[in-house]
Amino acid sequence: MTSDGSPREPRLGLIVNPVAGLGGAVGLKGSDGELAARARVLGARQVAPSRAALLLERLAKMSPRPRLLTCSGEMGEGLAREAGFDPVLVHAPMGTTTSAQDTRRAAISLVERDIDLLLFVGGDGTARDVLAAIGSAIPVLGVPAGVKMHSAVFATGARAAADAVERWWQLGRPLDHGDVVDREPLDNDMTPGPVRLFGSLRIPRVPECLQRMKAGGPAVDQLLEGAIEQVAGLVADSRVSLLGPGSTLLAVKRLLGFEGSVLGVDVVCAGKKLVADAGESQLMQFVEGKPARIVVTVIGGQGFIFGRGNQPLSPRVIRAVGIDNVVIVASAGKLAALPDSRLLVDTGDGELDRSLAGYRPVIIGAKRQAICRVCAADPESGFDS
Amino acid sequence: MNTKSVEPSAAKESSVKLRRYHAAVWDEPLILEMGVTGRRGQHYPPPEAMVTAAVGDPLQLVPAALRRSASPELPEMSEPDVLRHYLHLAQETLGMMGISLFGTCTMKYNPRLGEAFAALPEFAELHPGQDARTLQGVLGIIWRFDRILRSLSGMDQFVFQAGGGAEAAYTHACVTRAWLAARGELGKRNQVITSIQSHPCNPATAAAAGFEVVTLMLGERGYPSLDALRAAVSDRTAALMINNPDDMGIYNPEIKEWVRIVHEAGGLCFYDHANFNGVMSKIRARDLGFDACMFMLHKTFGAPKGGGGPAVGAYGCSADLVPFLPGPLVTQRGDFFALEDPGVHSVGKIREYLGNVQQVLKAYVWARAMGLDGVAKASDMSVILNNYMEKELLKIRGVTRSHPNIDGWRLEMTRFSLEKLYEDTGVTVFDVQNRMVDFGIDAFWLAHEPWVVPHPFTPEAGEMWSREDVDYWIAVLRRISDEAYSNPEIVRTAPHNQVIGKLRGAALDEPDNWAMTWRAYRRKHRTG
Repeated sequence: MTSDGSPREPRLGLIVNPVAGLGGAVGLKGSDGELAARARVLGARQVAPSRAALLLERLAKMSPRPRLLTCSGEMGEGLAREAGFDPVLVHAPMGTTTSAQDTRRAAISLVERDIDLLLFVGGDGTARDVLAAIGSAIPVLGVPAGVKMHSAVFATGARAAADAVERWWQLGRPLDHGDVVDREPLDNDMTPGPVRLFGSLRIPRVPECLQRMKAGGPAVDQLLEGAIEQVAGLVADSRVSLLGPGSTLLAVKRLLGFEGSVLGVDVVCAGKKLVADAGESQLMQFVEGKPARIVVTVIGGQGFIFGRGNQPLSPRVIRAVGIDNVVIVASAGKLAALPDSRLLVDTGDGELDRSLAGYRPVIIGAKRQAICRVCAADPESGFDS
Repeated sequence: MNTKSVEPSAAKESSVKLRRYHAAVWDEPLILEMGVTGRRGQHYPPPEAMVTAAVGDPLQLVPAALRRSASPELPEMSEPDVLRHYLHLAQETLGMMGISLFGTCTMKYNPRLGEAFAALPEFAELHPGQDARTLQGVLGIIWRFDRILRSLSGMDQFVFQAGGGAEAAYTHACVTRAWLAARGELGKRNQVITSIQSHPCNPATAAAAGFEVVTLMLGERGYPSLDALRAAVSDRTAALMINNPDDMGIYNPEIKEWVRIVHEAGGLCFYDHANFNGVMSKIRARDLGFDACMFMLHKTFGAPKGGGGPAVGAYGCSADLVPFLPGPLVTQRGDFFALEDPGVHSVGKIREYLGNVQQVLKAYVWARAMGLDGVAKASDMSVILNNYMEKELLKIRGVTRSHPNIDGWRLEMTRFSLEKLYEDTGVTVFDVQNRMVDFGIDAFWLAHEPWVVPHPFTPEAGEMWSREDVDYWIAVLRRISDEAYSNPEIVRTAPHNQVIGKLRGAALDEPDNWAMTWRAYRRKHRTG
């Protein structure tokens, strides 16, 4: 509320990545870096501006009307004015074409202007740029306009994003976490690489408006809360627990009372953090010859539990802990969305991968487990692509 | 993703002409807001002197403990105002005016014949507390209907107490607990196995009864693999609770082996027949080795669906489990139908008395009217109609189905996906739902969570709807797909022809705002 009793206006930051989605229109696997220029040569049309226009048209009708902070030119200003906003400009792109640097600088400028929410119009690449620039400093919501949108930070559409903002504001701005994942092209353009986890953004808690890793639903999210509590209870014992990366395990770490690492492996004993973001040799010191367990979740959209994003959990560490002491936790929605609900391992040690393969329990809720097939990722099998 | 697209060029132009439609809009207030002080529906004369002389003050005939100290705060209204109000509300629903292909629920027409029998005073005016000697007619119907369900399932005894499918599943979880206790295994065997696409009431009721739940995910054939089941069973296995077909419409042909594996591990097997329509009279749960099963009279047997109210989940079991059933059971002694207590091992009551007996009567009427041949034909029709519908729906641009590589027919329903439509146009499955009601037909059901395919939907025609009805429904979906590709805004902003606009589904998660009673509404919204 303001001093005169009227509701305070939301301060919204907006970054439009005008090249997002360009590549998809001409069959490229993204619009990152040089791909955007190549897409233009191939005759691609911009998709981000029309999505941004839809978003702004709806936001203009929101009550109380938001205060908009954005970038000049095609990164927001023009569209904002067309929608009737008088935006505060915080960044001007330097060249004739915008770049990832522009997204990063704009995000930092917006955070400095004390905004409530940063809206970006783009894809996974834009989400990575925002994450790299501001981490979890402020809540962020993506408006899908890219080629790749595997991250769990996007609304289901431009209008849904506006609905999400309004609803989030009415609800008192509850927050959640969403993983930022992306595939990096292997050979410059056509061959998509494996999905990698890059971190986690704070996002509005409005599940009905969000595109949650293309699966799940409110009931599944509630079930996962039970799983997180169960794992937190499990690692409260005297055994050393190695908690891997990902937002699911970040939630476990938070429940235990510490701000853990999103991308790294944290060492926990009796529910207390011993080391955050530990390397392989540090992990070995904790587990060699002692009772220990590894807790991992499913990384990325492809079903990897080892070998993607959690490299400190090396074959040596896994062997020292023992494969019977590997605990897997994941949402039922994430499992259901995987091809045949198959989990993958690629530790770099073929023999260990084969030992890890087979049917394994995955904690999906309080006293709820799913039986999933774990397979060794064979590069020729097509799983890892 | 696990779906397959059919080229739009394969789509034939629909010859179905869509009718004009607009719902009646009355902007009707709540009845509690409509009262006017002093207004009455009827004015009753005071009791005549002769009556008062004979019985005294009639109010004194009501025991003091039952008398109100103050009048209820009901709206004061005239009789026609009340009738108009409810008529307006009735006109604002789609009800059976539209076509309702609400999958996983087998929404059936409720024949007037069953309603007429249930309304007969000889039945409607019975009280379940009457002496059994005065309930012989209705007990006879329960006893006979038990026999009909035994013949359809191979089980040895049915009870009708459960007020819905979930309560019947809960009955099984309780029976399992009692069975384990009698064997000295309660606590040791504490896991119930189910599958990810079995109805969510199976894991939910198992958990409510104190069991841990082990869920099997779908394998490449559209149902969980035998290897997954082998990995799941152990000396902690208490029971398997499963649908077949599950909500993907794919029948698991290995089910006998499943039952054998669970029995070998020492657990019980429960067949949730929520999806019985596609296999009615084709298979029998007991013949497959199951120890217990459940039929939903309000789905499969033509009785009305009651949303947790007047429904019935008929629970049947083998002779070994009869001692654990909730009581009383209806038994026959010579010509007399008696109510018998099942004994000391019984789980007790799941519901009061004999459950929702009027539903048993309606289901009995349906079963007798259909006959075994009719039931078999209904099952065939539901499968044929679904497969006809599947072929036509897959011709629509943006529509795909789950497990496209699995050949063979789905049974009574198919899990479709609008993922392609969404990716092409940004129109979601929710938008399409909202648009469907603009054509006067019920929106489709999506899928239980978690979703195996994105943007899912699951229509089910059963044996109730004609080819013309199904063609009309398909034509509506084809129109909406065309709109999504040519004018997506009209779909995104739907409904346009309905009583109200787009609903905010998240409102269900706002206990501070919603209210189940008028009193709670006034308290939460401070309206006096």
